[in-house]
Order: sequence, then structure tokens, then C-alpha cells
Amino acid sequence: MSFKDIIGQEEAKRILQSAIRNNRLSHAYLFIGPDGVGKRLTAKTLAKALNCQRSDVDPCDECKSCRRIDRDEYPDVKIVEPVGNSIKIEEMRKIRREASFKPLEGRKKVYIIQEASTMTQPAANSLLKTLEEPQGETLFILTTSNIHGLLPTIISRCQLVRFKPLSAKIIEDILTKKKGIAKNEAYMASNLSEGSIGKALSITEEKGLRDRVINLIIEISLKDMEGIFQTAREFTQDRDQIPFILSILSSWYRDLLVFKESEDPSSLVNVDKKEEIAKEAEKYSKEEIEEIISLVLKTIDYIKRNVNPQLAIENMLLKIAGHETTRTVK
Amino acid sequence: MVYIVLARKWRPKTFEEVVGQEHITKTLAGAIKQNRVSHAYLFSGPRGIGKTTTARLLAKALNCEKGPTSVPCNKCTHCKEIAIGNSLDVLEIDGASNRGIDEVRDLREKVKFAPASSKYKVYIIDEVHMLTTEAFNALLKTLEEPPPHVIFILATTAPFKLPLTILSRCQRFDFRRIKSKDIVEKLAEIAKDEKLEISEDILFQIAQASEGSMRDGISVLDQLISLGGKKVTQEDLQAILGIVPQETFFKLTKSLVENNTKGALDLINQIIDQGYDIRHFTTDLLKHFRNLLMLKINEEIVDLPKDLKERLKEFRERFDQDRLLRMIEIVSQAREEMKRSERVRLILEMAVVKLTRLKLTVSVDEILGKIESIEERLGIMPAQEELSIEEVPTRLRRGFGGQEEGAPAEKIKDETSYPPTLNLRRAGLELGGIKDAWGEVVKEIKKDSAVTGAFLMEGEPIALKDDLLTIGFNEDFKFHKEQIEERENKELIQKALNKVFGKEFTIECRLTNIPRARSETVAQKGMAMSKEEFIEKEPVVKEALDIFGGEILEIKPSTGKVIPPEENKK
Repeated sequence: MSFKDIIGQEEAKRILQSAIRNNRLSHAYLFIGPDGVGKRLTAKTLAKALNCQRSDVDPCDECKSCRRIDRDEYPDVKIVEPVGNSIKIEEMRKIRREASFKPLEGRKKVYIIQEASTMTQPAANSLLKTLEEPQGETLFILTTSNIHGLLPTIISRCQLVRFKPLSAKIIEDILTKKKGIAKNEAYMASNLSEGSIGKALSITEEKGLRDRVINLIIEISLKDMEGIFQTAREFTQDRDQIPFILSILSSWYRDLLVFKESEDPSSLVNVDKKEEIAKEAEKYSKEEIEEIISLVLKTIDYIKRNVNPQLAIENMLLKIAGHETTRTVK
Repeated sequence: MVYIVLARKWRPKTFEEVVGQEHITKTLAGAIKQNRVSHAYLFSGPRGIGKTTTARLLAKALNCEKGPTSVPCNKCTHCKEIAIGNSLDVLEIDGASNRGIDEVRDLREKVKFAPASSKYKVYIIDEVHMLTTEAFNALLKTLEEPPPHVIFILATTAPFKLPLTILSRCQRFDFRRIKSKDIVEKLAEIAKDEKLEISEDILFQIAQASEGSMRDGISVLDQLISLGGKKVTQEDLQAILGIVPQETFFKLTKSLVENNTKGALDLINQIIDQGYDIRHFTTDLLKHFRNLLMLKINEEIVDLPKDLKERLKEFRERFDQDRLLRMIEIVSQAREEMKRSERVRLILEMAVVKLTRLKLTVSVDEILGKIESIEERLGIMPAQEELSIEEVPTRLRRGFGGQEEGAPAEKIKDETSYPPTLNLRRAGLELGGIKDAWGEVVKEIKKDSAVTGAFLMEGEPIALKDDLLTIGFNEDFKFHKEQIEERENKELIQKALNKVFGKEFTIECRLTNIPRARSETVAQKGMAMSKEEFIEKEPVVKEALDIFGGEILEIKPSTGKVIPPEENKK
């Protein structure tokens, strides 16, 4: 991949390429933007450009250096990723030592720290001095989707490069042209993806799941307690799917609200379900939908904080279905 | 050649070049002149404002061949060595990486030796807040009485993380955030040196975004230069800072004025499609509303370029203070929620829907006014329709009676069926009078202090005994009550009461569980009709019900006053 193959991040590319061209490359960059929009790709491309044997502003992608960087085999380009849930101080100490040496082969040593917000407090602090005044030909690229998880002192030492969520149109193009997905499906997935290709892809893989979840939630108000618990069991069956299911629910109720407010089908996420949305929107008042949305958001938050997912989802469904009383188990 | 970023290139070389920290640089220079340099300093303050820089300057000043001097020469070997970090006698230690007790023990060993070539051995321990407790304790003795040739400078962004025993052994200097004006001046100087054409307006925006940090400001400037153009445009700045053009905020405000939900949502969609950071946008929106509110209260404190201020003024009269306060509340709540959630788009959309709906919420007063006038026209009719308490859904009971969930039903029955106590009735005549003129009183107070008036609006007179007027606040408005209890505010109210009624009152505030809304009157005034008939006949009531989401509990003739529950329960 060279810079021109990176889609949608024109401004980020402009900033980095003109910095190379004008020989004004900073020693530390912070790439911020949602997951799956090309931060890692851009970081590696920049590393290639700086070490490419043929050109400098855009890597050739063919020389030995470029190919080895692509395969993560190049000694002067290191990618640091969280081990478990965090990046620890030991890792940072190693980098600090190495960073003071000259590049082994290339022109520039590049450290790409992925998900920098997962650095532990000690790890982040131990990077501060190096980040401010690294010795020699060293470049740090930090990437994160959550800038609020970073120390202000880290942010202030880096030049910020913002990566935008990809527009739905671009994602749709990628899905149809590169991945061969049907146009209709691509359209829906790109609207649900919130600007992330990764997310869009996993949505197309899980098409059936979305239909099922939406059908279940439409029926929920007709069900008795037993039926609701059954639905809850189905939602929690596969733990890894829970966040996705909840995000389907939140987008569903968002659509109801948007439809009620604007009666305009063009801004819906679940574009393929216009009729269902119109019908469902009739059932609720705006305030009720708002209440449900905050309920879903709260549930997402609870589960993130390790509340038992089954209890949280049962509770949520009971409330959505209008059984306000708490659980009375037979 | 390695490019050195501007923030490093422009690191001040003399005390005078350090911007915005005169209170510190002057003191240090004075201490050197009078030979009263302490052996331990603590430099604290937010990021990028000159702590490390000043520490190095102090080291230079002490070790300069011509020194100790307040004006280091920057030419002698010592000065040069310190500048590139090669001096054997100025040791800059990264406290965050060397945080354990072993490192401190090692340091204590080495402290004893005399300096290699300079007069002082200066230890600069940066990011000192990351030292472990053991390491701090091991440092205590050395920090208190180091050998005469040693000087410690600790620097940190988080002084509250240091043990008190460390703090008390150092002379502490708190570095300040740098004023926007000072940052602009410095940036202009750098831009001139780099031959960059940049307008003052853009410099001002950079300074605002850097929140008082010089390094952040210079860093943005650096990026602007690296874009390569000779002239910096507003678009360049937006790309680097990721800020939404001001125009968008005005458009959004306009659709709020017009209650155009669809338009507002479309606008949000555009912003998202263009890839702006939603959290950032929300913060800026909050600032925008804050400016609007401040413009209403005091123009002087709005920190905006002139033309923006003028444009904002066009909207000033379109919102009242209450509505603006509610708007700010909604947006700041959304911002809080965004901190914990990734579904930022949804949260923003919800907030916008709520914002556009505000007009309706505000007009509750109007609706109530209409209800009252209808009631007057109909006159008060006798007879009541009792509604058995079982039929009342819990939610409504809570809403109307202010009862906590699960309150015994008997109690509520008491409330609805017993007449107000005698005591109150006697007082009623006067209390009623005060209530009727309460709006006058509030208006009078607002003349003196809009804030006090706003606080008082949440309360209402609930009892009068001789000269003692009790003002009741719903539990949700505890803060308002406390504010009113301030002596200053009380005096204002007394003054206003005196003006309106020509009588001196003593004021007492009390928390009640009466919901604040004057909606009480809906339940109290009424007529002898079945509920359905009533709704049928009065579309206004139906409208009110739709908004409040309740149902009619009971229709009673008006007694003209609100019964405080604590009196009533007896």
C-alpha cells in the first residue's frame, strides 16, 4: 500500500506528505480517529516512505525495505501493541533503550504504538521524556481511538493527525468494489458502520443476526414474562455478540426517533426496514423512545463495567416491554 | 538533517524569554543576584508552560562561567553543554522511568561527590510525581540537607501526588497557564521568523485551542507550516485542529429558533459525514450556548472576536435565560454521557431532538395560563368526583403528590379527601395575596439581581405566620434553596417584599415534596364533570395531558391555594 491507496483520509495524508516533502517531520505523531479507518495502515505507510530505497514521499511498495516493513520484519520499524489489555512499562523501557541507537539499516527508526490509550500510567509517564526530545533519527507514531484515555502531557508532546470516520458513500464503494458485496446490503452496512470499514464488514457477515434481533424486539411488547426471558437468553447466548446486538437495538430505536421527528426515510440507518420503522414508530411517543434509547445506552455501559450481561439485558427487555415490575421468578 | 520541531528550537535561552511566568523568573533571578539560592525547588503546573525550560535555565545561570548570574551567557562551555544535555554536573533524570528505590539509592550515593568542573551539581528530576512512595521516602533526608554543592529541581504536572514531606522540603513555584494574548504574541514572532503569513484571527484561535500551553500552540503552528503554504488559511487551521466552522453553530441555533428538528438533524448528519470529531463538536456547542447566555447577562465576559459577537447578538433576544440554561444542561449532560460511551452519534442526535423540543417545554406556563382562564370562565362548580386510589397508576401518584414510590395509599387518600387545615385557612387570606403578587416580587428582585430572581423562581410561598413567610422549594431544588438562604439574597427578597407589600417580612426556606410546577392548580381547580367530558370539552387540558403524560386524577373546585403536604398530613 502506498499513500494513494489509502482511502478517505485526504487531510491526514496531506499533513504527513507535505511534512516529508518540506523536511519538517516531527519526531512524534498522534493519530486519532475511530477504529478501522486506516490509522495503522497510514502509520506503516509513513514508515515505509521514510525507509523506502527508491523514493521518499510515497513508498514504492516494491523494494526490499517496503516489503519487509509490510511483513513486520524490518528491524527499524517496531509495532507495539497492547498485551492483554494494556501496554506495560517494561515494554516502554525496552523502547527507550533501543530508541537511543542509530537505525540499523534504514534512514529512520519508527515506533508505532497501537492503541496508545491502553498504556498504563507508569508506561505513559515513562515515555514522556523520550517523546519530547528523542535522540537521533527516531519517529514515534501513537494511534488511538480514544483521546480521552491519554495523558494530556502525552498529547501535548505529539503533533495531532485526525482521521475521520469514512463517509457512508466511501464505505459502500469499498464494500461493493473490493469485497463484492451486493449494493443493497452494502448500503445498509455502510450506514450502520459509523464510518468504520471493519465494522461494516462484520455487519455484512452477520446480516441474519440483525434481522433476527429486530424481529425479536418488535415482538417483545406482545410477549409474556417467559417469552421475554427467552428473548434475553437468545441475546446473551454468544457473549461476543452482545455489544453488536445492543448496537443494533440502539440504531433501531434511533431510527424510530428520527423517523418520528422528521418523517424522512433518507437519514435512516436500517434503510431496508422503512415499513417496519413507520409501523413501530406509531406505537411509541417520542419521550418513550427517548427513554428506551437511554435505557439501551445504559445497558451498554453496565455491560462494559462487568455487570452480569444476562441480568442487564433481561432488565432492559422487561422495561422495554412495559413490565416495569422487577423480576418475580416462579 | 534531523528537523527539530519549533517547540524545541524556540525553547527560551534566558529568563526573559520565558513567557507569562514573570512571577517565577523574577524571583529566581533575584535569588541568584542576592546569593540566596535554595537547595531544593519544586516546579509545578500544567503541560507545556515552561517548567523544564526554567529548570534548565536555572542550572545554566548557576553554572555559567560568568556566574552565578541571572543572565547566563549561552556561550561558555558550561552553558553549551547544558543546552545539549551533555553536562556532567547537570543531571536530568526522568522520574517516570527511574521511579524505584534503587534508582534513588544510586542517586544518593552519587550526590556526595563534588561537581566535575562547575560550581554546582544540579539534579533536575522531571515527572517526579511518578516516583514510588519508597523512592520518595528514601529521598527525604538528602532533599532536606544535601551537600552544599547540590541543588535539586523537581518538576511535575501533578504536585498533589507528592507526599507532604517532600513538598515541605522544597521551595515551590506554581507555573501559570499562559494568557491567550501572550501566546499570540510569541506565535506571531515565530511565524515572522519562519516567513509565514498568518492572520491575527487565526493566531487567536490557535491560542484558544492550546488552553494556555505554549508548547501546544507552537506545535499547531509547526503543523501549519509543514503543510507547506506561505499563507495559512482558515481551512488549513480547521484541518489541523479538527474544529467545525462557526457557521455551523449559527445554523444549528437558527433551526432551534425555528423548532426545525429535521433541519437540525440534517445538519448533524452533515457534520458527521464530513468526519468531524463529535465529542469536540459537542464541547464547542456548549461553548456557543454559554456565550449566548453570557451575552444576555454580561457582554464584557464574552471572549470572542468582535464580528462573531455581533452575529451572536442577533440571537440574543430569541431565547430567554431559562431556555438557555436548559439548553446548556442538555448539551453538558450529553457530553458527560459521551465520555462513557462510543455511541456518540446517537447521544448527540438525542440531545438535538431534546433541544428542538425545548420550546414546547417552556410554553408550559402559557398552557397553564390558558387552563386557568378557562376555569375562570367556567366558574367554580360544586361536587367532586372521587376516584378510588387503586385506579391511580403509581407513576402519576408520584408525579402529582410528590409522594415517594411505595408511600402508603392511605396517606394519599388523606390528602385528597380532607379539607385544608384550619390553621392554613386563616393564614390563607394573606398568603393568597402574596402568592398572587409573587410574580411581582420576583420581577422586582430580578431588577436587582437576575441570578437571585432565577433561584427564587423555583420556590413559592407556602405559609405565612405573622411576619414569617415560608418559601417552599421542591427537594430537587435544594441548591436553589441554599442560595436563597444566603444573607445577601435574603436581604434582596426582603427589600422586594417591602416594596411590593409595604411590610417587613422574615424569610424562612423549607424543602418540601410538592412538585414545583404550578400544575397543582390543574388538580385543585376543576369542575363537576366526568373526566372524559372534561377532556372532551377542553382541548387545552388534553394538550397539557399529552405533554405531561398523565391522566386526570380528580376534578375539584378551586380553593385558590396550594396545600403544603406537611400541614395536610396531620
